[in-house]
Amino acid sequence: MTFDEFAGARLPAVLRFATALTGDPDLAKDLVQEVLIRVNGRWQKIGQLDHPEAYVRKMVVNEYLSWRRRSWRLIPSGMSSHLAAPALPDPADGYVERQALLAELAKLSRRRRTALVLRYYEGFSDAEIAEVMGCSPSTVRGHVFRALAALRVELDEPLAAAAPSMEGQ
Amino acid sequence: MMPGPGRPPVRTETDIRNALAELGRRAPGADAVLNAVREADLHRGRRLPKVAAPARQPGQPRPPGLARALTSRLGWPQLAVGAAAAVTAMALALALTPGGSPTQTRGLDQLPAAGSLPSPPAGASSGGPLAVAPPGHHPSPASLAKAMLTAFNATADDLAYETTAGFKAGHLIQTDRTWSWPAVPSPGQVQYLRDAFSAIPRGAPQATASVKLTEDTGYTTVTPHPYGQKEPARFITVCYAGTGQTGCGFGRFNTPAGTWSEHTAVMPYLDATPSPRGADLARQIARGQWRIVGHTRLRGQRAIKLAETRSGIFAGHPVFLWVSTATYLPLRMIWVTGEFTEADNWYYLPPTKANLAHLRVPIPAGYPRSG
Repeated sequence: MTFDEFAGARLPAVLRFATALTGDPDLAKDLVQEVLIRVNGRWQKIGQLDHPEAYVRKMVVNEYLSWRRRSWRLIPSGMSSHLAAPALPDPADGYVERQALLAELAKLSRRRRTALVLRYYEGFSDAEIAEVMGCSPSTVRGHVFRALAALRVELDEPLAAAAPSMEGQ
Repeated sequence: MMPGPGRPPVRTETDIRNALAELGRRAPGADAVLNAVREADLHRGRRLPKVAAPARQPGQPRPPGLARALTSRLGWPQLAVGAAAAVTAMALALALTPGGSPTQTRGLDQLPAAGSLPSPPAGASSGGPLAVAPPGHHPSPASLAKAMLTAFNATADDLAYETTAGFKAGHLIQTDRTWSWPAVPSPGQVQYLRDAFSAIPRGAPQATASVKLTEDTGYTTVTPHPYGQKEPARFITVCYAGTGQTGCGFGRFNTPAGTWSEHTAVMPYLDATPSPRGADLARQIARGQWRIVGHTRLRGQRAIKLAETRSGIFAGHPVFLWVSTATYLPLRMIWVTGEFTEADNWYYLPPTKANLAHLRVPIPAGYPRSG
């Protein structure tokens, strides 16, 4: 697969993941752009991997976790006006609540948010998340446990061995 | 969500999944990113391709097939830009999610038999007219919004039919017709969707070529319960030949051109109800994101014409909305960006046997089944 083929086919998915990760389409665009420029320069190696997209996704996560050159907004664009708007008794109440949940997601630390996105957006296992984030599975469970507690989420099933130890917090 | 009396809402893991999925659909267009990479790559003299399914900007042509429907319930228009990305995400979800395997059969018995059409419900109504303001008088945004919400609720059992036409420099370049029933499905209810997408054949001159039926897809699924994320679903896809496309479909469900396919699987739920929802539009009107600019007649009905204000989501882009003063349902929306124009028309039809027959995807004679 050439870089052209990869970019043509997989870039939208990577952008979606980055948007879920950052909570902001503009930041996601910048994040992916930086990563993709590097990927393009190193495609001869990356293109030889079995799963180049997984590698690129990991690069996106690393960039997100280490990116300090911009001021990150705590609340994704447009969220504040949604929250401030008067609630109407209508069937779209769920939509309003979802905006509130997104706003709270944006307030999580980057590592907790990353763990949540990898688990609930990408559907990764703890081991897979640990591999992407460069930490242990127990640390991943700790991130997820704390994040879910902060969001007042009731688990479908108990989280196994949710270690309270935190890395990088 | 399950808010208790005097307590903050208790959320579920499904809420997290849904919220993140919604966020992902807001992803920006891939073209802008590729352009930046292209600039950085100029010194190497390389040329990057156009993205296969770039996210859609206001007024730009929509992506093919179910892509439009997959952006539904996202609070249009701020999420419409993620329409194309939804296709990719769906493909990815099918590829990565164990439940997306077509070999799994859990819950498939919830689906009606293949090829069967829903029966009209007894006593179904398309909703009656609401009186908010006499014709010729402008209702207040609050009363208009309230009437639209009431009307939207009344369409729950209707067949929602949406047509979309995309123009570039005044020339029609693609159309989309979507039938969805019920218009507002409730948990546990079987949902039916059909999406017929037409476009100018790939490689044909956009300025002169005519649109051609490209892909016709039927999607049947079960509206999830609060705790259900994956649901049984059936896809029927007809991929028309002579469109310049080699295939249609999503993920592993690929349908070569000139064939049709049918797949059944348990997969992440795809909300395919019409977008934008009347409730979302009503909310935007109540917030002052639209202003009434006058009364007119459209499709034989008196209608209020609204224009999006600067506080609207597409501030800076001309976007107009027509709402019937007979039914207080949205009739049409037109949005313009540069040389692109899109016109959406909505119809809420009574769920008669004849209307529900539109949900069936016709298989062209001589087309072999490929999957």
